[in-house]
Order: sequence, then structure tokens, then C-alpha cells
Amino acid sequence: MAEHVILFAGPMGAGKTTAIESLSEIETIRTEATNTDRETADKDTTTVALDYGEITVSDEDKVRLYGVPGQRRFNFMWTILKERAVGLILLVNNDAADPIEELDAFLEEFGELHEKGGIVVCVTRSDVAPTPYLDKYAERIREVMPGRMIPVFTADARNADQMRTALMSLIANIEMTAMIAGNQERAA
Amino acid sequence: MGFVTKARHSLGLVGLSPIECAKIATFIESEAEDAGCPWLVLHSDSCDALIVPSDVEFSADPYQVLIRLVRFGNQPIDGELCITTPLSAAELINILKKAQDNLSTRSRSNDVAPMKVKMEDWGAVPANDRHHVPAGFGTPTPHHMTNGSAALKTEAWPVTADGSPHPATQPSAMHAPVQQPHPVAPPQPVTANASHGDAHEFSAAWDQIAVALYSIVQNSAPAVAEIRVENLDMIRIDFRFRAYNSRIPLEQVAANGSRIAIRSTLVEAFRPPIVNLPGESLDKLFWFIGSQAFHGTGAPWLKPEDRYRLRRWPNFTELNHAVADMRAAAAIGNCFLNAAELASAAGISVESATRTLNAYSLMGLLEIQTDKTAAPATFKPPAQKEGGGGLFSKLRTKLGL
Ligand SMILES: Nc1nc2c(ncn2[C@@H]2O[C@H](COP(=O)(O)OP(=O)(O)OP(=O)(O)O)[C@@H](O)[C@H]2O)c(=O)[nH]1
Ligand SMILES: [Mg+2]
Repeated sequence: MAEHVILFAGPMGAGKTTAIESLSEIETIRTEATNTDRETADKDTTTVALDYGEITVSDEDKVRLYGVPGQRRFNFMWTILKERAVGLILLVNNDAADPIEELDAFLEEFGELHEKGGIVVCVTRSDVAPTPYLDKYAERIREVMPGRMIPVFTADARNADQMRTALMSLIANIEMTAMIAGNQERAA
Repeated sequence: MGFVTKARHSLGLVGLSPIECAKIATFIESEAEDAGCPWLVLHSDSCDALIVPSDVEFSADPYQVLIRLVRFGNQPIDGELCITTPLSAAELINILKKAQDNLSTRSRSNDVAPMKVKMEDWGAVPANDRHHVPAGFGTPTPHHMTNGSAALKTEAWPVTADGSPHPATQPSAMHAPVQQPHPVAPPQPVTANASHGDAHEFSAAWDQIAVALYSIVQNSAPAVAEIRVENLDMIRIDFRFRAYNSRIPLEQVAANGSRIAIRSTLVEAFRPPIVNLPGESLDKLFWFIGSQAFHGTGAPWLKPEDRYRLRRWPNFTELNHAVADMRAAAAIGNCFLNAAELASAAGISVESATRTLNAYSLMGLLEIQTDKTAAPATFKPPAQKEGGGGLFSKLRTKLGL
């Protein structure tokens, strides 16, 4: 059985738990605890260990969806999961205090996943806060990770179609970069 | 705003083919500026000067200079400014200089010849130009003067196209009283010969609209535009905010092939938006028009010998897209390709690849590689493992996409 581990990361309240719920075929495993940081995200609970969901694609393939906690005091989980992942869906809520700064920080932490497979950025809650515009994210990604193509979307974590678009784009990009690399090797 | 001081006059192209439009726009972009002959090309019949084919009956307004395009086999019209095909940059610049002189003698009293377009007089459009406008659109009620902002007219439609009140993004005092939304029936096709079969055939008029939009975007000056169908403003665009509003879904607007026109004008940055913000993203409109126009042949501004690569991934969550579009984006996102190469990389037809390129270029998403010596990109997908393709195709089947 081939396993494809996709990681969901991003700041607290970006929608990681919600996104996995939108995509998963099984009832998701959640590790929520009472949220004591209402300032950062105004919601009742926050993830303390991880979220887990999955999509069984065929007898041979399973996509495992892992969400890591947004709160940094839990970031020991990040390292463990990072090693197993082939792709990252980075969610950033547009209504964060400084979403571009969050993008920076998470790309720094998880950017290596681009080399292992690929990264997609989803900007959530842009209905709540319309700015910064998507271009700003794209621009910053180009600065931080020049020469790499990282898809960036506006997406509502509650919307399964949009999350599928993000997931499919991630996989399309991973496969295409592998194919191009393969062709270049053969040509060389 | 550097631009306004540079471009002194607007030039409208009326009834020209997309190729003619593109040629003129290119000449003006590349030559006119240096020749001290600054013009802004707009696809509007209400500019300072107009270029109209000599065989089209047309009467210009008194403030306008009319230039005739004399196509091969036609006779120049006595006493009128004429240019002949095949178009040359030198001839065009020459005629524009004459037009410029002509305009400046007309407005000697003014220091700077104003750029005239009808949309600037929006509030003063005669009633007979407006009586088709359904209640709920436009702002027939006089604007309330508030906070001394009488000079700032909010032109935005009071409701969104889907009829829901728009999230207010402006001080409410600047809005005309919000009116109840009225359902808008799609305009009936009026041309008797518009047969059912080509009802959703994208008419050639949309090719012109695509070229017009492209040239406005290339100018990157603050502009607004409206696309009119049957004399009704169907789509309002505010390029400053990269946003538009449409009265009815785009598919329905496009199905109406007859009497389509675009009017555009420059606006000062401080003017209020003409769309209800945030509105819909212009990318959505460009994606739609770009992928349908030109009957699947390359847009006139694209060169077949060039290769293109995505600067930024299209925001698919807001575009009406197919799964194949994601593979195409992945291919052209990672290397420079022409239409044929894109087709083979993404496993789509050359026509679809061309439509994709047309749309992306209209959306301003493409980088261009003009180096013709670069090795052509060849794509040989690795031999497929049993189980039928990679994770992408399996997941696609699984999710029923
Ligand atoms: N309005 C709006 N709400 C959204 C959108 N995306 C997600 N949400 C909501 O935002 C909240 C996100 O919360 P979670 O999914 O718990 O966020 P998380 O990233 O798991 O947060 P932590 O586990 O605390 O790090 C939920 O209430 C979602 O319903 C969006 O695009 N618009
Ligand atoms: Mg969570």
C-alpha cells in the first residue's frame, strides 16, 4: 500500500481542522482542547496534538491527511510529521494580525517540503478580511522561494470543492515536477 | 499619475478586425511615445479620435476627429483623414499627428486637450439611452450630497448581480439609497437570423472585446469600462480594483452575440469605484472571455514562436475550471512552453492549449521567453505503472472529477 502523507499547517484558526474534515472520507480524528487564546482565534477549541483524516484512493493508494497544531507551543509535532510528508497545504487566514508574516514564518519552517514534493498555499477567511490580495502572497512566495512554482488560492476551508481543487493542484504539481525532472535526467 | 500627463488623447477603434486593432495598439505602444505622439487606444466610440473602416457608415460627434481605414481595394474618402492597409507605423504616426493638430486647434482655449469619453458624462446620459435600464440598476434617483463629497459620485450598482445586498465596503453615506433588487430577465436575442445552433457560439464581437480588454490592461492606467449588450450596460469593470459586476451570469451575457460594445475611460484614482466592491475578480471575466474568444486560434498579441510560463498559479477556486486545467497549469507553471508543447505535456488538444494560453495572457499571468534557440520541451510521461496512471488520475476518478 502506497501512502501519501499530506500535511496541513498554518496559524491558529486558519482552518486546518476544518479543511481535513471537508476532505476526509472517514470521521476525522481530532485532538481539540479548550481554546485559551481567544485573542488569536475567536473559537471554542484548538488542536493540541494533531488532526487526522484519509482518502482511500484504491487498493494500493491511501492519502493520509495530517493537521498540525497552529499554536507554536505544540510544535514538537511539526518535526515528526514533516519527515513523512510528501506535500503541504499551507493555510493562512487572511484575517490574521499579519498574514504575510505568518506566510513567511511557515514557509521558513516547512519550505523544505517543496523539495520533497510540493506546497500549495490557501488563503482562508478572505470573506472576513478581503486584504491582503492574493498577489501579495504570490509576490512574497516568489521572494522567499524564488524559481519555485507554488500554487496559491483563496479558499474556504469549509468548502469541500475548493479544498479538492487545492489538493488536486498540489498533486498535479508534484507529479508534473517529477516528470520534468525525469525528462531532464534522461536528456542529460 | 504619470500616465494622464503622458497620454493626452484617446483613440477609439471602431469596426476594425482584431488583427488591425492589435497592430495599431502595438505601433502605438512601440513607436508613438517616442515620436512625441502620446495616444491611449481604447475600444470605444467616444474617444477624441476614431479609426473607422471607410466602408462603414459612421458619423462622428463634433468634438471627434474621424480617421478612415481604407482597406485594400477601397477608395480613400475625399477630404477625410485616411490610412491604408497594410498598416505601417510611420503612416499611423503621421496621421495621428495630424489628428493631434486638428484637436489642439479645436481646443485652443484649453491648455491640455481633455480626453473625452461618454462615460464621463454618465450622470447626464439622455433619458432615451437609459429607459431600458431596469429599476434597481443605475442610480436614477439623484445622489445625496454628503459630507461635502458632491464631486464624488458613487456610480456603483446598488445591488450585486445575484440580487443580494453587497457587503458595504464604503461609507454608507456615499451610497444612493439602496433599492430592492429586481430580477433581470436575460436580454432576448433580437437578431432574427441568430439561429439556435450558434446561440452559444462566442461571436466575433467578443474577439474585439478581448483585444480591447487586453490593450486596457497593457496600458496599466487607471480605467473603468462597461460592456454593453443591446445598449444595456451588462458588465461594469473597474480596473483599479481588478473587479467587475455583471447583471447576469457570464454564460448568458456571452450567449447574446448581437450588438456588443465596450466603452472605457480613464479615471482619476480618487474617484469612487464603479462596481460594488469587492465585486467579482477580473480574472474570472478574463478567464471566461480569453478561453472562448478567437475560436481557439492564438490571440493576436501572442506569437506562435514564443514560449510562455506562468508567473503565478491561477486562482482556480474562483474560476470555472476543469481538472485538465490543473495539469495544464502544472505544466506551464514549471517550464516555458508553446501551445503544442503545452498540449502534449498536459494531455490536451492543441486547441485547448491555445485557449488556455489566450486566457492566461489576458489575465496577465504569463512570462514570455523569446529565445528561439532554447531546446524545445519534450514531454514523455514515464511508462505508466499498472493501476492506471499516477495518484492524480486515480484521485480524479475516486472523487468523480
Ligand atoms: N468565514 C469563513 N470562515 C472560515 C473559512 N475557512 C474556515 N473558516 C472557519 O474558521 C475556523 C477555523 O478553525 P479551525 O479549523 O479549528 O482552525 P485550525 O487551523 O484547525 O486552528 P488550530 O487548530 O487552533 O490551530 C472555523 O470556525 C471555520 O469554520 C472561510 O474561508 N471563511
Ligand atoms: Mg485545528
